[in-house]
Amino acid sequence: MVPGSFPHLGRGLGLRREHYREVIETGPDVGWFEVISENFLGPGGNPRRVLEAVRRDYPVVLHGVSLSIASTDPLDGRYLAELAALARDVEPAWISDHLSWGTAHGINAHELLPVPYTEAALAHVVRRVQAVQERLGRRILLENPSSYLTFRDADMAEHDFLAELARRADCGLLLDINNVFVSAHNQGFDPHVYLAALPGERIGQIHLAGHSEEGGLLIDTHDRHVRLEVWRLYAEAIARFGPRSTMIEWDEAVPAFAELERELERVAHWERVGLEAQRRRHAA
Amino acid sequence: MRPEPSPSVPPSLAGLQRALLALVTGREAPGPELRADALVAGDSRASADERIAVYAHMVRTRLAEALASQFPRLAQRLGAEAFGELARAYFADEPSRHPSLRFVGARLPGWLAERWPDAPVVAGLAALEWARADVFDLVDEPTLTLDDVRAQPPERLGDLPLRLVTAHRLVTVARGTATWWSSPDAEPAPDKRAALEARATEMLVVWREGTSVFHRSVDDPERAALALAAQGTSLGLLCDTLSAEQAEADAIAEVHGWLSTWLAAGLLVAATA
Repeated sequence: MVPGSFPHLGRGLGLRREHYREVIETGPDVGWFEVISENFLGPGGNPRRVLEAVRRDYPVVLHGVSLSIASTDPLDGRYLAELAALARDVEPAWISDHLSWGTAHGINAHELLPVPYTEAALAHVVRRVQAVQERLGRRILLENPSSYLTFRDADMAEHDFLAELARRADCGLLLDINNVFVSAHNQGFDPHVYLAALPGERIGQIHLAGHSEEGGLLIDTHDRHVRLEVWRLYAEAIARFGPRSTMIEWDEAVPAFAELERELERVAHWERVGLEAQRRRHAA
Repeated sequence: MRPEPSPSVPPSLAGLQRALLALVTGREAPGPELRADALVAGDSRASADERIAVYAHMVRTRLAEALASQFPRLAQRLGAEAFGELARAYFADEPSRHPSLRFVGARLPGWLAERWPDAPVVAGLAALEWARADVFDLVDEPTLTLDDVRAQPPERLGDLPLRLVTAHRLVTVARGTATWWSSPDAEPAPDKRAALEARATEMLVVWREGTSVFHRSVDDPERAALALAAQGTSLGLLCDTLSAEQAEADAIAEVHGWLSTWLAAGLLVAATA
């Protein structure tokens, strides 16, 4: 895989129902939009009408929540066919989903459940990513999960699992910086070691979001501003990997669109911080 | 559809997923081998049980919120506590098997009809809300207009094809459902007599104009006419069918009235579509 396989689109936002009308009618200065694939899989009607209107003015990427790439159930042929049809219509810059699973024995929990980081699981997921990429005719990006547990059977670190998965399956990575921070706290790993272990050339997109604290755990709630520690980790990622298409995810207690635009200004600021650090690093 | 070919599955991974799914959904009583601390490491931040509970809470909340978003008036009419109980019972019986949350409520109307037979308007309201959600999402099609009808040569007017657009639903529900949909105070008393009366039904047609979804009651003759148009008919055949039961002039007048209403609502597919 060569660097730049996924285009650099600048700063984007997750497109949410609350902002459909404003985005279509006012054409805000946003680089691109990420949409949840499952919300637009139907053959037409209002969801497709909205997506087509947005797509006329902006690059769009598809982000799925139902691929269930690590499940031991068979891949869902109907879902993949619908996703392929949506991609043909929308021509997204890329398609992504999560390193997780949500179905077992035909039952869908509609949750991004965690993967045991073992060699057997790695081999299983690699084969499934290859099958999906063949079906879709393109590389996909897989997102590092927010996680609240570690399996007793795990015998490798999450960052090693992701790096090896991307290499063996020849797929890209969607780096969710907030997820790194949340999982590092919950699982007790070092987020800086995590970033250093990732293959930067495979990172096509970055997610940023807010999180909350409940009891002793951090929860990936997507319901508030990005926290300072996460911004700092983002700057470190930019310093390490260079600029990447970056977006804000805000899914609960969704604020006015203007608030999201201000959050994008913060993305620009912390990107500059990261690039300055990169410049100093190269000069040293 | 045949499942995609899938590589061989590591048995231990399948067992782990079955165990975790049981723990987070509560669908199976966990045996000793399914204890949280047998699967997951706890520490000073949180025990194994607390870590599993995070996922269990997210699963319950996501499903309940999805169901409430698909049946907003039913959720409002029943109240948060009762609707939450309903959601728990429904998902225990009818776990989601579709990849999209959009369809988690697909079986709720039928499930309510079986589980709450003495409150048929509850199932009726669910059926109406589900039909409205479907119609909102269904495909756009060019629709037949009054100008299209006027452009038809008079001698060929009978050949005019009449077919309902895909984005419609005809739903038969307990009488009183449409009233309860529009007015929360109109809930029928849940006693036997009301239940017996409520076994009478009404048919509703649901359709979309632009981004708005509408529904209205239809009487028996229009119900039959819509059923014909749903399968595809012609203006002449519709008039002939109705003329068999009433005077021709009356039939033509009735069809004219329906046609005007259906055209205004965008219920008919354009003849060239």
